[in-house]
Amino acid sequence: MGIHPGALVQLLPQTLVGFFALLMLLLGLGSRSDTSRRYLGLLALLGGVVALIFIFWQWSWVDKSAFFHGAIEVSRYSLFFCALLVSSVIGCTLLAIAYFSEYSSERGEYYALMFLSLLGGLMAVSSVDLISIYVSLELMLIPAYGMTAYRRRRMRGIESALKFFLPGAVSSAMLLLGIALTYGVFATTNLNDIAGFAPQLSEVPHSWASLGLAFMLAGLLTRMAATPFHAWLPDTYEGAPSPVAAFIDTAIKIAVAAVLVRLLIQPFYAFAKGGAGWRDLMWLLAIVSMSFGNLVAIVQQNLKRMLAYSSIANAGFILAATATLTQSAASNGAGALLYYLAYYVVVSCGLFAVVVLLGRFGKDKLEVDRDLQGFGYISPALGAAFSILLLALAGAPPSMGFFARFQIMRHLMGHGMTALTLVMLANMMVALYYCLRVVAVIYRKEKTDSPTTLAVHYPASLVAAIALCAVLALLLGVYPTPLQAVAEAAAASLF
Amino acid sequence: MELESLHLLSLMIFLPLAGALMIGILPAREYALARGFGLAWSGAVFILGILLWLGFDPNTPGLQFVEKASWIPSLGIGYHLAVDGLSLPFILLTAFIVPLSIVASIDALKKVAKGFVLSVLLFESAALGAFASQDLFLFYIFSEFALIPLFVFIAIWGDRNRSYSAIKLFLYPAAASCLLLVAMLWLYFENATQFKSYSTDLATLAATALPQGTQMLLFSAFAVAFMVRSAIFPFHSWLTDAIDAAPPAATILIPALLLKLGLYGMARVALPLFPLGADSMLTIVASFAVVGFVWCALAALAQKRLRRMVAYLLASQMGLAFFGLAVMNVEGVSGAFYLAISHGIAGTLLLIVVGLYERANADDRIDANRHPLRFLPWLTFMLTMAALGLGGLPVAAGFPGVFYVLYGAIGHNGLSGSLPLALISVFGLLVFVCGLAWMVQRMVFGSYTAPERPLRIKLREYLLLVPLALLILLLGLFPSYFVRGLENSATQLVDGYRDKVVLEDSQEEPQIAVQNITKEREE
Repeated sequence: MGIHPGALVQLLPQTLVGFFALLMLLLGLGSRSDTSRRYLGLLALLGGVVALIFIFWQWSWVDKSAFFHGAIEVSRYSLFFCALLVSSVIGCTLLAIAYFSEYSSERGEYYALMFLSLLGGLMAVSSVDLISIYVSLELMLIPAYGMTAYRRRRMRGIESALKFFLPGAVSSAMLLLGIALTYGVFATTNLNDIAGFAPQLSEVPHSWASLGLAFMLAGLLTRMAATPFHAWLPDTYEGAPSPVAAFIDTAIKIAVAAVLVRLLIQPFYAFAKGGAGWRDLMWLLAIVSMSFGNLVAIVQQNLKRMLAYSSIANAGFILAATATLTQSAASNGAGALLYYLAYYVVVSCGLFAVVVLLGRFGKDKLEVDRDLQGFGYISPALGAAFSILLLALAGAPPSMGFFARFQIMRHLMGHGMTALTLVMLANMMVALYYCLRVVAVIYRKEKTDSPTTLAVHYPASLVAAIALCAVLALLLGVYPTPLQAVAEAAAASLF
Repeated sequence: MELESLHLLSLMIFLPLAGALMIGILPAREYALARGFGLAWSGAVFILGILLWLGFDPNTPGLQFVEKASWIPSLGIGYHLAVDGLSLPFILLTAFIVPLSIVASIDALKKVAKGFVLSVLLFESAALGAFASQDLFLFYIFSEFALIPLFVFIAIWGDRNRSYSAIKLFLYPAAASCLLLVAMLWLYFENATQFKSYSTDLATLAATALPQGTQMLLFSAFAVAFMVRSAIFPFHSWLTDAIDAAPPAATILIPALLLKLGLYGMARVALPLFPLGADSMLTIVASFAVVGFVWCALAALAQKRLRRMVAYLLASQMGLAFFGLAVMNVEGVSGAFYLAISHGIAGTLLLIVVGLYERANADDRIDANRHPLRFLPWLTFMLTMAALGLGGLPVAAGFPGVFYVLYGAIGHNGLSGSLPLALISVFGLLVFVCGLAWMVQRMVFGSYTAPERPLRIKLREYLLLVPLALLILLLGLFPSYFVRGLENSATQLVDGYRDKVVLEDSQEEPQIAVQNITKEREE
């Protein structure tokens, strides 16, 4: 299949992001003064916004079409994920601008790396071929390793990068092994072709193909940090610069979830049922992951580690949604999953923005009981935004978190998974407990009379990020219909 | 009626929200301004409430002031508000108590006026929304959201053990509501399969045909959620901890309004949705309620701190109200609602007086008071009024409630085992009244030394108590004038419930059903 030049317009988001990545790399090399480097952050912001605007425009006319011999497919599904990825990168850029201005090590390479990683993500969510999925995910991860160790003189940064890199490398190997096994059974790596062959296998589920799927799932779930593949996450978050932790928490999780949904719903849908089917597996992993993450989060003293374990729990919620995937548009949990991911981008970016801001008070370690006391009184607006984000993370109504979980539970109940719904609700209570604890601490008056009125400069980018995320977390919870409609439309375009 | 076109209910719900946003942007140090705004907004809501009360037709038992719009159409979730005789008293109670609680906080919570007023208004919005909702999802959202400002009250303005109490206040009802959520989703899908379209509207959900076993399961989930919300035994400890943790001025709204959400939810949601399940479970609910009534009254006698004693007394009376509702005849239901209203008003008065008492003694240990109220005859009078109102003595507000509940329970009805329960609750009432009397005695007399520095009570604080005391008297004398249309709506609720139960029973055991019908006709 030849490539029509006009059809390449459909890949313009990816092209734009790649162009901006290279541009920032060049400009970063050329600029020597701090002031000129400062503009690189704004350039990254511009690149993100331009790509986002293009994606919005493309949404209105896009038609499902394949390129590069069927390896890349542009549809509303891929566009939804592209928009989420670009939005999360815009959020992370806002964080990075504030974060690196403080450490005066702002360089072009950071934004170039982030955009390269984003490019990998954009390709991964549009891929319908196992090889291109693998390559895109690698493109996404390798710059992220570099970003994690970006403040290379900090031991903790190096440690966290190593802890990120080693499981990442193993996960790549597992993914590749799974792809090889799948190729051995189907003699093709194209997902649509596999989907056509799978029901015709002599035995369904085929044992070798199941093994291949299992390896691929292990590889993907490691990147999503679902229990039992989560061990790298807390240390990585704690040591990585907060904007990078936000990037790993949002962008990588989203891209992996997009691939996961595609794999389960298209080529391997025939493997859903039965004792060793993926539906039961996802059901089990969801329970394990959400319960483990939330229970361990209770005892965390460090805010970043608490967010890390909450991220593991949220991976569990995402897996719960994957357990309700079907190929019919009516009872398909994919739309709920997509909404959930959008919610997660908003909340995670907002909370990491607060973490970056707290870092400016000279409290790098962020022990909840010690360092956060009285924070709500320093700036009431900020305290309110922080509380809203925490409540949204816990899923209290009427925030976006509640509606996102409500939709997943709705589908779970529709599939008769009452037990999983109850476990999920119990987990929401646990999450509510540790999030409320933080809210109670930030409004605890300090023992000394003088409140910490440190003369802290609030960077505009950070305030914008926190305000935007808090407002969205509340607004999209009260009026979820538009986002929900978009998510459903994106999910429907899978078939 | 032109009032119908005013969207009074929406106005009442969203005015406080707008007020909260406006107060949010005021500078933090403008205490007086924040309070003034809060009072103005909640006062406006109260005036709207009066309009609602005047426009309400007490002879129509059904829904009035209906507002209906779609909210999340793909899930069938609607924005459906309405009032009837069951919700009107609580809406008025909310609109009445909220401005008073802002005034009561002026001296108790001086420097935190902005945040406090803001949270009070948010709570008012949520509570009014919950009382007016005719959509289950909307009701759930509003009643959960109501917990957040209350959490903030305790977490920020509490003075002892507040983190623990605040989190408990949130988690107890919220965890129980999770059961409700699952049951709600279950019902939602059953309804969707039967009607081929999704809906969370209460009227539509009530039409779902469910077997008795399922109904029992779902009713239990709803009942537990509402019992926790109303602090019914054995789920009352969050209430006592919450009231113990903060100055009384900050906790007025919890017993006065939050507890009512449980009772109201039971009558509005659980009983009409699952009449068959309720029919076989109500005796258990009633038993817990009555045991709680006695238990909490006894526990109140053992308390060493005034706040805890008041908390137990307040928790105790909700048990009696729940018992009245569980009896499920017109007298019982009306009694439960009368009792809930008088509980709200007399409880508020009691908490305000306790707050002043604490200020006088700088402590709330009951036996350590060096400044008994007998030197403040006006406060003594108010305290006695509150005790009379709670205790249900004739001519005071609690009387119609207590009388109707016991009358309903002892008289004719369908609840098995209500007679022994009624006898136990008569005993409970005795303990309860003794507890009240003992509390009054210890607060009023206490030690015999005259105080060196008498407590100065401002005129404003005196005046604040007047409308409450007046209302206690008026509600005792003319209950049905103020609580309009309650009995009509209660009759409708009970008739609808009995019809469904009898209808279902008649398919299995026609003879008993006929007997039931004839029995009811005779009555």
